[in-house]
Amino acid sequence: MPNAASGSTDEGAYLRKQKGRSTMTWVGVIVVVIVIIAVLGAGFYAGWFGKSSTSTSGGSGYTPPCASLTAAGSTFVYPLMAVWTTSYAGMACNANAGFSQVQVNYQAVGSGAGITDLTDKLVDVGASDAPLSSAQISALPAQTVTMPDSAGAVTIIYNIPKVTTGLNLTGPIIAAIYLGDITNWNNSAITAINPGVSIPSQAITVEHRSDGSGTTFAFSSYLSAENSTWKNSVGAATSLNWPTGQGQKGSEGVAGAVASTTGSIGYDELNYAEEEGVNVGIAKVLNPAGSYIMPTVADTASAVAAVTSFPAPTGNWTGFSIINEPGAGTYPIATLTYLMIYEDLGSAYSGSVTQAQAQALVSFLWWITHTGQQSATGLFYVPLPSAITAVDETAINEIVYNGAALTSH
Amino acid sequence: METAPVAEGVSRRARPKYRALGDQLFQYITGATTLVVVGLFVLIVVILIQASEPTIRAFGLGFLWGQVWNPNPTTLSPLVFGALPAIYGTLLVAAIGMVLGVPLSLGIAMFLTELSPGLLRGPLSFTIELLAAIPSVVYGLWGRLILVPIMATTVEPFLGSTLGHVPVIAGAFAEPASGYNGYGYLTAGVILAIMVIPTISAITREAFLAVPREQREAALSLGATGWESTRLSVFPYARRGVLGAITLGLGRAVGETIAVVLVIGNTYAISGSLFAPGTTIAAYIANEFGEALTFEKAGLLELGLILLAVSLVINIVARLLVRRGGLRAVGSP
Amino acid sequence: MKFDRDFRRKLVNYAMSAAALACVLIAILPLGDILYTSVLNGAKVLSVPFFTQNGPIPCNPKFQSGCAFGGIGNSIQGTVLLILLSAAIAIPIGILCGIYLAEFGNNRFGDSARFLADVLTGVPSIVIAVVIFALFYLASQQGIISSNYVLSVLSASVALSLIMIPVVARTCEEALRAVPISTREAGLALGLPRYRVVSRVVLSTARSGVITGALLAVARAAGETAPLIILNAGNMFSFQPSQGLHQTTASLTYSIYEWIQSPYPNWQADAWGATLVLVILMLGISVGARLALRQRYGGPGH
Repeated sequence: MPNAASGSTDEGAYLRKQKGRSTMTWVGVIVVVIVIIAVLGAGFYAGWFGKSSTSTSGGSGYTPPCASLTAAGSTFVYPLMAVWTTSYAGMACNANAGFSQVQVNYQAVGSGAGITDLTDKLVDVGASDAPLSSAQISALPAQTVTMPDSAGAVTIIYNIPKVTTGLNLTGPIIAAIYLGDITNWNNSAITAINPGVSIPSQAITVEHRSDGSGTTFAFSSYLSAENSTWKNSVGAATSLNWPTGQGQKGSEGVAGAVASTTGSIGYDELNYAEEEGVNVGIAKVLNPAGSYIMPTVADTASAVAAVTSFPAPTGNWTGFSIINEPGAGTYPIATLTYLMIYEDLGSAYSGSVTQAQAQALVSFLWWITHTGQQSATGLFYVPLPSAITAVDETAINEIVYNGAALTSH
Repeated sequence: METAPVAEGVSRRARPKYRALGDQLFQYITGATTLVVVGLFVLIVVILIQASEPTIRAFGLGFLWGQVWNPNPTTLSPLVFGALPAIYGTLLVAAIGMVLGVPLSLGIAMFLTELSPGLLRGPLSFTIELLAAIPSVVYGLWGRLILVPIMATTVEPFLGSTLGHVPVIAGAFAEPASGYNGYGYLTAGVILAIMVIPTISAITREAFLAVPREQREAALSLGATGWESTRLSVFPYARRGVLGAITLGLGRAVGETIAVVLVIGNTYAISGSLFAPGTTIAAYIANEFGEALTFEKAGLLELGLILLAVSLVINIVARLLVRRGGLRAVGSP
Repeated sequence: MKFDRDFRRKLVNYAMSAAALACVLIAILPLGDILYTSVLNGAKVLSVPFFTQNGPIPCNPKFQSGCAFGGIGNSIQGTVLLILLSAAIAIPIGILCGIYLAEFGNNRFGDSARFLADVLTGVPSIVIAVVIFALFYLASQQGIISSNYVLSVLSASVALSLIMIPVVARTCEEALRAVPISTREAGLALGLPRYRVVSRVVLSTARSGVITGALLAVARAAGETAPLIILNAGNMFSFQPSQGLHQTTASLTYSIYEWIQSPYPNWQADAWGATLVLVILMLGISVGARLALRQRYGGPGH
């Protein structure tokens, strides 16, 4: 090693400086080691190292193999899905190959992204609030099944100073606002149907989704039904060429934007609107029977219950909607939310999905459409009526692995 | 290769034959790794071009000035991708960031080199460095929760009511259709300005310090005030380095994603007003990529190619300026 | 007082000094505000469970009982895992490249490589992210890798390492160049082969410079969000080592990005807590590294 003692001045100074530096280096290394140990410790708490699956068993019946699954899509169903996945992870399963729980990793990336990920075979389940469009169907490389897993209301939320919740609105008015024809809240059309409410002069800021969204599909389906200009110039889809307004990411983005922007209007699912509490007002929307309806779980449930016929699980659901269902107390802008899964999980993924995973998946699907529905009302979702549960059971039974049937319950 | 004579009693491994082999191997291995690094760069460009080929062929040059991005063809509107709103937003937001950030950075650099008392110099430059250490998502969070309301309630109405009536620039400060809600080009530009300050001021400071003392002293000895000596002796000398610093900052501003996406309003349109919502290339890719089907992904990759080209040009110019200005820009963010 | 030319010049001088000071204060203002609000809001949620529990289920205390507050346990895990993986790829490659540039790189190839490395540091991270997605996707289509890995902590780490490599290479090169040539000559004079001189003598002498450069790169990678949005968009559960690298993970930056756009009070409170942790982490690493680098290379004021 070089001998610093006989070096020139600058070299000696340089090398002496290194001694001081090396202390700092060791400090840095020690800090890093401490951080890693702390993280490992935290990991232990959080259940890294194979926490054996205990707690509730799924009741009588089938215990699925433990597995790890991926799902992606709708932000609407995310709160409910989060409860489902964490509950199901705590349930009994048969440990195998290093898996100790059925872990469904759901990413709320938006309905459009969910179907794209499914098309690219990057996830096992796609979740969308809109049924598959013909473009999406033609892009899918294999047959899928469509099954509704929940339902909810698309509410119209607003932020008008001094106007509390419950403002009356109609479909044509909402369409006019989103077309940019009505730009101020005290427009005569709005004040006419709200006698006794003092609406200040306030410019309307229109908020909409910037990402591909099933909520947008439901909302634009409603607007298309209510306004022919909208139908002919904008249409109904998960992603639109909005005439006006600004884009927010995800259901939570719209809710947050309306809550923080005075004079804004937005469309969002009931649970997100309710979560915003007093920060937004929720509008009463005129239904086909002629009443202004405040969206609640109950009046959305009556919309869901009014639907009697459904396409087959592997059939064409394009354009299926539950907008403007009949009924005195029915909320007009109701929507189902769907899960899309490849019919044959073996051949569709060419083997990267295992039999165990397929078993765990159908078992999870069965659980969420039966026991899981008990969590719906508390989170402002509509529990599925028996007619839809029957549709789901048919759909789940259609899912196979390399042609062989799977046990789901 | 080294051919220094071998001393007696030195380990056998130091004999020329093995030493040459070991050294050759060492040079080749490290050289190969460097080739890998160069190759990474080439890989990025190649993949971008190859993956965006479908849309390049489909839209050609029209992609650059198209204003509509419609991935869902209907009977009413065809499938078309146009990049102009994104390009416009990128350049506008970066320009605002520069206009606001460069004077501040120059002022900071000047203060720290010329005016600040020696004791304060260290802590102050340390504090400015802290700005660079804050991750962009934190800037985005702060922007969304704190800056946006301030812009919406105070700054934008004020500017709109004053500058919105000045003849030539009235259009830039007009109230947008959606009202003053704080999400827009201006807010994004303000955040970018804050984010580029550490980069520009650090390199500008080095450029100022590289000016020989004699230049400044010569001006002072002729009776110039402090400011005048700076203006006459430091600025011209450091010009190239300062330009390089500014260009580096511009490169950073152009590529910033997350801080922009949270405050810019995500509207794919071109607006004359600075308060209007819009989008940038980076923000649009971040928002749309997840849900894009394959053909749209190709379009987004083509947008990324444009962004890469723009930032490459900016960075190459910046590096040339910084080098010729005799500075090192080590590990610049 | 005469308002002659001299007075005006003095006035301009003072005005410019005041303006420069104002610039400094204006720049410090947002920094102070960010730190202040982070500490104010983040400190409210800091607790031991905050660091160990996983991210919270969406929940509003008004409507649901027993809202779990959750924490950043899995986010910290994810960030650490990303750092470890990307550093494992980037640091060896970067150091080897830096060695070449410093020791053998005074030729045309070295000059172009150096230039390209500098330019690479300026490539926007979103571009790198989509390129890596395209790369992994194409590879999965050809059957080279399983499609599970396209959206995974592995692909995100590869993207982050691409961001880190040029930074590590250049700072390592600068650190090695700062070692006086006499040190090298001493080693060679003792008969050590070149590669030993570099690896044993020069590298260990420049060790702290290299490490601080690596820390800078790590800090930069830890603060990135764009690659995570594209490639590793979160996970409610913690990372299970037994299941391999095809999982996605939560991470500090992505969690903040996700939670801040939500209306759930517990998410937003957690976002501030995560911000505080992240800011402390980043400030610690970045500033420490920069200070050490500055003292070593004699930056401004030296």
